[in-house]
Amino acid sequence: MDSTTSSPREHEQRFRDLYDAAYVDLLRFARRRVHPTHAEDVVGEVMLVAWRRLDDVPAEPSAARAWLFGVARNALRNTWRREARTDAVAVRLGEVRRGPADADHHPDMIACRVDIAAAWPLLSASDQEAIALSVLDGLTAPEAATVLGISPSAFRLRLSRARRTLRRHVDSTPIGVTGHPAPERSPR
Amino acid sequence: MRRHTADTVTAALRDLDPAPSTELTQAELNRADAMFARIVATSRDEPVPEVQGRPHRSWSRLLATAGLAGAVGVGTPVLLFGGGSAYGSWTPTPLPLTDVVAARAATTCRAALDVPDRGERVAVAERRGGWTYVLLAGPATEAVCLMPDDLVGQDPTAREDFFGSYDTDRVAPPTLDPDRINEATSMEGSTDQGWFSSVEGFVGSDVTGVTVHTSSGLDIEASVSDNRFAAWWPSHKQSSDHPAETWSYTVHLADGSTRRTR
Repeated sequence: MDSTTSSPREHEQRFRDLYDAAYVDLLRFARRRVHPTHAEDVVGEVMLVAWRRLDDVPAEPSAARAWLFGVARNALRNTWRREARTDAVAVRLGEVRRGPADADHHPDMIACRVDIAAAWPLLSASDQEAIALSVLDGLTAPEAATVLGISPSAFRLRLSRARRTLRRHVDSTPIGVTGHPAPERSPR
Repeated sequence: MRRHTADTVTAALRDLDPAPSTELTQAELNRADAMFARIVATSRDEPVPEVQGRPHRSWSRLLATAGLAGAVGVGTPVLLFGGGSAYGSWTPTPLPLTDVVAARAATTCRAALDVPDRGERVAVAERRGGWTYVLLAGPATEAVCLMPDDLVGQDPTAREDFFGSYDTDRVAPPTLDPDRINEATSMEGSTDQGWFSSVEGFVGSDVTGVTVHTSSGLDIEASVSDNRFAAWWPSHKQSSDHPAETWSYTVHLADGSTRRTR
């Protein structure tokens, strides 16, 4: 992708390329963080920003994807500036489902899913975010750092701490405990 | 207690991905194409608005709003306009609106935001100086609008001194002890009169009043109606000279006592 805008037709084609390349990944990014019915709205808001700031979008596809994720995160973080005033955006996990597909999985894997589902809500939003950017969103440390607006080394440190915290919660989770949603807002 | 390897934890996390890799359905593809068409139909020369703490707004309405404008930054589009001086007539004590005027304000709010009427009630409607604020609340949707009094009941599309937002992903009202309040949303926005901050939330059954104390020194009487409260006040765009504002509450109870919250 060029770094400057030229004709309207070229601008639209560049945006078309970005849109086609990043739409699904951006939708999945949003679905991990908001109710699924809201995810397409988030994508739309982010893509409108990209349309108007196309010259700021990095040329390299994976860097462009991280740039879009960063815009989405800013939008979601602003949306959720509520009582907790958190600077991080919480990430949700799917439900633990048991069915015929589990027959192909080792019992340890099934147990691990149950334990993680129970431990995940105990993590801070910042820890959830670091792990999700790496494991679920599939970003490299420099890309995840771009999303968070921190240095790659700071992200690696944050990810390492988050993983340790998750392991600590998982290892201390009583067998049989299942996950539950994040706590409600607290009264004041 | 069980111990899992790092690889097992990573694999299990991916199994729990709420958005696993999948092909878009035809309906999703159609919506994506329609969204693309709406985006490229907008002017790319308009600056991207920046806003802090806004609740979610409908995407479709944003794109349909020709007057979309705002400050520059990596933010998200909102239905706000301009940036000016102050809300000179603003008062820390609100005046309640009559049901008729409140309904007219609600009509203007819905029209501006293109929110279909799904039976949302007027939860809060107030006037501070020359500005009317209305909070519409329904089971799934809430909308907030701030408008000059002379815009109440009028067509807002040609005006540049209106702020509106709505949230289509509301959570259920919290269960509160009688003497408690719950701040559901705080946000900052702007009209051509400048930036403002607003809060809204829920109150317990014994709460008769709520006062907001801001770090800028304002003491603002919130409107309290049924189980809701709301207030707004003039503020500044955040900068090194104007760091993020904070506030606390005094809750006034039916027995005449008060309770201070952080």
